[in-house]
Amino acid sequence: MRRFCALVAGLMVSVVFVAAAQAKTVEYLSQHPVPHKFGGGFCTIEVAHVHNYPPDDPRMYRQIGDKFYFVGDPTPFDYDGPRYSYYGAHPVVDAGVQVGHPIYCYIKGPHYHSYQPPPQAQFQLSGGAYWYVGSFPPAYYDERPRYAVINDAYAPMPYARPVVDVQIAPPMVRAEIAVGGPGWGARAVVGGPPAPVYVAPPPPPPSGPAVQIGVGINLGGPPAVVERREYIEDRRYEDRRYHEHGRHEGWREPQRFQERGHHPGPARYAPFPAPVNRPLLHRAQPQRPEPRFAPAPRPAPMRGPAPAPGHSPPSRGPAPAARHDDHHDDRPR
Amino acid sequence: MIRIQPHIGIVLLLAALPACGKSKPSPATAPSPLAAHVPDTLHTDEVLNAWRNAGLAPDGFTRVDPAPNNAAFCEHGAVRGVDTLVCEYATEEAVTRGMQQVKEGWERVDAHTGVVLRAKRTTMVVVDRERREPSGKTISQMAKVFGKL
Repeated sequence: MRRFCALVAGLMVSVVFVAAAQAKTVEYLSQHPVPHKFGGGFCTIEVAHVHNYPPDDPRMYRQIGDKFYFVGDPTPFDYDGPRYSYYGAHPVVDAGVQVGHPIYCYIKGPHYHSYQPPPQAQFQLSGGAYWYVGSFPPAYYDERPRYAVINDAYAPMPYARPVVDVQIAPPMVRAEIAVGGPGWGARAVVGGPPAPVYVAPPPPPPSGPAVQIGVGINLGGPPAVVERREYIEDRRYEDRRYHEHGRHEGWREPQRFQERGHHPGPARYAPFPAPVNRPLLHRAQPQRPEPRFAPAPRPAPMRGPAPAPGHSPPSRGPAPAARHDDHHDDRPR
Repeated sequence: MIRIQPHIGIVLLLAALPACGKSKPSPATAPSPLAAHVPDTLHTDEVLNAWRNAGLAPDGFTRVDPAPNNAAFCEHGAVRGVDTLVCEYATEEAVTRGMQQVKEGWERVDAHTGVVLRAKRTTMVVVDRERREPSGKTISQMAKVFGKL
């Protein structure tokens, strides 16, 4: 009898512990995806609330204490609320959420958020998306290796990213405009002491235009740091660009989009041919626009110090595909 | 033979635990005939009216006596099937303590979704135990209306 009672007591304790484990609640600070095993979709509650399930993919969240804040693009999760297009990394400016310190979105390329930047925030609406045109504090760069994994979470998701005309990027983009995914090559070259090393670019073919969408200089106070960004699209993307008339919709499979007026880019971002060092996708020859793209001369291998502070990096003319290993190499191999 | 599902059994077991050792109701739990709306804060009927005006159709709200969680006056009902409690508190300390008690209770009730908000010294507590709306659209709307009061 004593044995039976002990068994019953043990079972009761187990049941209570299992129940307690199942009843574990998790606090969310705002909207977020609902895990598939809990029905999927998107929870649209914009105030702090609890659920009895943890986040499906922690790469899309920031954990603030024991609370979770979704920093990703809600689009792939059947989100049907208002959304705003962004391009590249930016501070999170969700007015409904205060976490006590700035947090950053590290999603590369075009993406959506449910919040619109407030007027006082340093965003510029250009080409159909908000671009962050302010400067990032060191915390942004410190946290980037940890949080940029959000791009790995979104890379395999097939969904419609916003259409962004990258040719009319803001002229003073200081943000980390990273483009990534198949068909893209992103190169961030940060100069100043110590000097970065430029690796010889591959020789360009006589034709095969690509677009350089960002070469900026950032004089961020003492110590002066020159930041130069070069974003070189490869031919595969460029070929699609001709079909898309300069719009960028992420790195999903190409689709046909409704024709739209073409916006010529400012001189600062005047596109020009750039080297392509991989086989091109075979496509029907597109109707090329007017010869805005001049053939790029073969750039000489370059190895040397970074541009001195205050020295404007070349923003016009031929751009070699500068390779630098301090950033994600998104170029497909 | 009546078959009881395991999770229902657990709920019954946990619900019965507080009753152990209680032979008669204490004065603290006896109905208080003097319970009334709290001045200088939102009244429960104002909240319900605001939800009603927003098309949320609060249903079956009745006064809870005694008011739980240190509140002075509470009404309980449902909004589109989601369990809702609206309470008025007499003091700031009571609101703070009451909200803390609600949060501590989330795990006990195994709420799929739970929200507690305050406006002045009035709180709204919403618990979706049965996963009636995983997208939280109703709760979100309730919270927006309540936040504007």
